[in-house]
Amino acid sequence: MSVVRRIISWGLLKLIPSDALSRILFDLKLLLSGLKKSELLILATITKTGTHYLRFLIAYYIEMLSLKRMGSNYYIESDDFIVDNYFPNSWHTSYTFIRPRKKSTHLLKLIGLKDFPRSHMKLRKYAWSNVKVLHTYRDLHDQAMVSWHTKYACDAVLKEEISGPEDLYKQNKKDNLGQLESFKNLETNNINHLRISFGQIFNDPANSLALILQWLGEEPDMELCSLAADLAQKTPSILVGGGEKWHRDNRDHIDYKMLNSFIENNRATGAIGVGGVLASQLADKAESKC
Amino acid sequence: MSGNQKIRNFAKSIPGGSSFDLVARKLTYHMFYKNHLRNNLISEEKLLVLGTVARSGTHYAMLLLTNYINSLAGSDNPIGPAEMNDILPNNWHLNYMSYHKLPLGPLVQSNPKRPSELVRYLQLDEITRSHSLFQSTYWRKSQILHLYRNPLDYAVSLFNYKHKKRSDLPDRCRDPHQVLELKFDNYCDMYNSYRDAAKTGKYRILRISYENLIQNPTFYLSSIVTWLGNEPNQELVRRAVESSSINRVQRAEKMGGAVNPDAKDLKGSFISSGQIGQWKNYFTLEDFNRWNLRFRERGIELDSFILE
Repeated sequence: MSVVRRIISWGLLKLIPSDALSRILFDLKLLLSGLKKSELLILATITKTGTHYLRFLIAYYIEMLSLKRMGSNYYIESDDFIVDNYFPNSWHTSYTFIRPRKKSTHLLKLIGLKDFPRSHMKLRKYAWSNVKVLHTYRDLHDQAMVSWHTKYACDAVLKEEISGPEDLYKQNKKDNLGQLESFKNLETNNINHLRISFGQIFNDPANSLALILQWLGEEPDMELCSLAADLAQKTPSILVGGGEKWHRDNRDHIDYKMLNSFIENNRATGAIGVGGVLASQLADKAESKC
Repeated sequence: MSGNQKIRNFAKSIPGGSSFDLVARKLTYHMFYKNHLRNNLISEEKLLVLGTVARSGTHYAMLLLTNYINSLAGSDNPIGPAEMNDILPNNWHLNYMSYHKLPLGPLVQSNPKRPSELVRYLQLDEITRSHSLFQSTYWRKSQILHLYRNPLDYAVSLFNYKHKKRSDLPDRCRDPHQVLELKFDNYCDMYNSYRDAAKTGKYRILRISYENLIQNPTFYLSSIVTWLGNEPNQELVRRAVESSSINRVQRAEKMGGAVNPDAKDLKGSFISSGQIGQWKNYFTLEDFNRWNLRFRERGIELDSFILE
């Protein structure tokens, strides 16, 4: 079934512009799922810029808010897999018929939502009209270094595809810059989008969460924002901008010693500034070409 | 009651007349407002409106923003209230759209003054302000920064600022309880209009509570700058926060710089302590519970605000 969906999607994309097609599919999916656009928050991020950090913060917050409102003990334990259970959908697959949409946690209703899908793509002016979109980003040299160390260098298979951080930076520069610039543009109407940098999230996770809640039209419980921020510290991979499920899991072809070494060496700084050397190298090369 | 108000009331009283207001807004948006902005060289998307509940940090946010852009422009001198009002001289509902004068107008009280070029450092054409309800027709394409405050401290602040100091007020209140009674519907309408707009996803709106803003001005100024599509310079953000402190503003006021020149009958300082939780000096727990029930009827949870 998944293969058939992919073939149909591929065929349609050849005929209709991507944004228009995804709008049609998105609207249809919402209709069939009985969802309104206002009940969705799309997390549209550049990869390795805090996607999972925000997912953890929001997951812990709504879990504790639910318990607090019931009058129960809301001091919960950390759970490395809470986000996978609570927010299982990616926008680009679950809302475009590529994969079935799974049910997200009902606790999202506590912050006025029913789903919190994620995606790594430019702001879709047409498809996402009337939707709240949260965008995270960071310095693209830092992004390339984190991506190299937490995705490629430690993966026996992927390591063969890319020669190093410089190669990775160059390969993704156009796409990442496109994402970055699309969310800077104030001339995008009918979409309420909030930009938040990885530096903000890393340096002040509790206030970052509070900012998001206010933006969503909610009053943040500041005690729970702080507790959520504390709990998030227990999952080290998210603190450098990673946090994919396989960072928290065990996969055969991953060198976890290498991955965890990078995370441990950089968790105190969030790997902010780690791309400085790469930026200098690229600048030197550009200068020598001139 | 003005002629405009009589017409609006009459329209509301006849069958189907409730849509009259919407029609008037749509017509004025297309026939007047868009051109008015264009004639003043303002793109709707590059208009930032501070749509705020009164006494919720409007002027503080203006001061933070003007100090930040002033630093970006290379100045080392802090901006005080007088310079702030030179940089941001306009009120949205007076200079861009007097929506409360619909349908007959005049649609602006006076033409806007030319905004300072400094606002371009934030990719904007104009930063203006208004204590109006959320304007879904006029603000569909603009950037809206909404500041609000817990309603009990709002009542205390309004009492201290206005009612305590101005004996000539026709609706003068003798304590914050009376102020809250007087302003209850207005506060609920304001708060709910922005909250509902934020929940839809249709508008570019960022809500920030006064309490969060004054507790973490560096974080929130940085967040506003980022929201507007810019990369904040953290050193300049810190400097802007330092330059906007209450002490500095009070010193500037003493030297003749008015924070709000439109408040003509104001005696003394525009700002009080700005502290959170002043309501506890006026409201008992019993009062709190009573108001909590009233606010709940309007869909607002009093204890969800930052109260202390």
